[in-house]
Amino acid sequence: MSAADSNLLELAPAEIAVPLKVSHGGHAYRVCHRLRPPAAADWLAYEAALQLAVEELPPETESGEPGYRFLMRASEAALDLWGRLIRRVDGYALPDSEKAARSAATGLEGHGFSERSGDPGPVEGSPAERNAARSATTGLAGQGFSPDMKNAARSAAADLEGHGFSRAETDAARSATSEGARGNPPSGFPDHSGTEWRDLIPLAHKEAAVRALTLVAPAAAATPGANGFFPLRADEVPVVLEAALGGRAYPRLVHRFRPPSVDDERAYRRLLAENLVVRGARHPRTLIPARLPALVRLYDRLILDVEGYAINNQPPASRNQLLECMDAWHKRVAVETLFGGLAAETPAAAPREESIQ
Amino acid sequence: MTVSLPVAADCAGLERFAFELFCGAAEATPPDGRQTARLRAAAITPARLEDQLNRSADAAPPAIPLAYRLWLAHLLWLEEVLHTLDSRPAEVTAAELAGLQAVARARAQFLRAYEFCPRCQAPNRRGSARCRHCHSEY
Repeated sequence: MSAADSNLLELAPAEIAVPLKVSHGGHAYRVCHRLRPPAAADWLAYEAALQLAVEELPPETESGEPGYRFLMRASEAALDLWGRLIRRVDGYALPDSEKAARSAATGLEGHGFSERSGDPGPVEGSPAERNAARSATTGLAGQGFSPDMKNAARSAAADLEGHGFSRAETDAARSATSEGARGNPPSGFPDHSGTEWRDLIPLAHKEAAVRALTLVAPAAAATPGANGFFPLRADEVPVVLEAALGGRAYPRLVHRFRPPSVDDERAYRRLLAENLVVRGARHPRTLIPARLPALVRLYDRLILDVEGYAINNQPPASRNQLLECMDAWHKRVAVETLFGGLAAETPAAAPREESIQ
Repeated sequence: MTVSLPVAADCAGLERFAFELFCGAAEATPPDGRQTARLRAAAITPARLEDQLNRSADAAPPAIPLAYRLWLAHLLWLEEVLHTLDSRPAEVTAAELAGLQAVARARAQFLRAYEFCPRCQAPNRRGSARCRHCHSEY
């Protein structure tokens, strides 16, 4: 039984498919971004690029509480991570070179992708068809392209609905397009056919694809436990997360930790408290440094085992394998839930049970 | 020009804000409900008393930047833990030690500026004629 069948979250996938529903020009499209699974270094770079900060705003009234504004460079960080991870995209159409040139020159249209209306040009049909036809007419064999690339271009031409572009494929298609454009250059406009397909994907799509990778959060404790009894186990603390990845929901991802010691709690509190203060700013500003490495270290120190995850369709065989393959973002959320939950579940915070006379 | 520095390294700022934190906590001592009722019953000008009570209840919190508040919260927690548990000196970082010393200096400054009412133990500014909490004369 595969991980997909058993609803286990695969920790070592070959690639992550992020399906997106997007709208453009009054039409709805389904696209898919295929990403490399993020390594810990990718998440580290992402967190560093976020540059989290909290700005304190003056209170509205003299006796009021100050307001807070949370600042982060989400777009830049997402763009950087997407650029690191992306392998290929499906459901996009490369723009026709003339259309792209006109768009760039007039600035009236966006990226000019998914244009399926009949554009008067030398070749009839969709952009992919036209590109493929140009490929055929220019002859790829003599230009050092491998058969795989030609096949990719051919398959793109055959598939009129969804078009997949990987880096190699697009290089081939791009070269083919530029070859074709050279034969019939749009007069008065620069030739933009060499634009890389990565640059043509809208920023919002990239942000959404990256956001989909971070969809992991503590699960709401709405359902009663087994038998309704509180398990008195002092040797482990379970933390339940829920996640969504690749268009599927994983509602129960259990991380079992050993109870944290005072040293662990001190390390966590120190981590939360170590911030930078900005002097000279208009409003007091606190810079929050990257915390992922320390949180990952805490996770690795405390974790016992997990439930709901799979490595190559099998539950993790050993703790070392688990530590190696577990997503760093999941580690982060699990540790934050572990320590945050200890404080949040005090009797004062919990709703009072009604007594029955 | 803006400069960012680790909050733990700013001992002078920590001492200043710790003192403000202690003073803010002392000034914001909630009035005793029974005492307030008695005051209301005996007030010559009830409107003025209400205004005064409301003003003390809505007193603006001390303006301590978030970064300092978080580090001070950690230091106060650490201080409590160190009093409770046996711990080796190596378990406290140099920044934490400097911070704990800054908090101790701020506390000493606070104790020089405030005295406690012998009757209700509420903190009052040194030199006050009567307790602002129970209104008893010193």
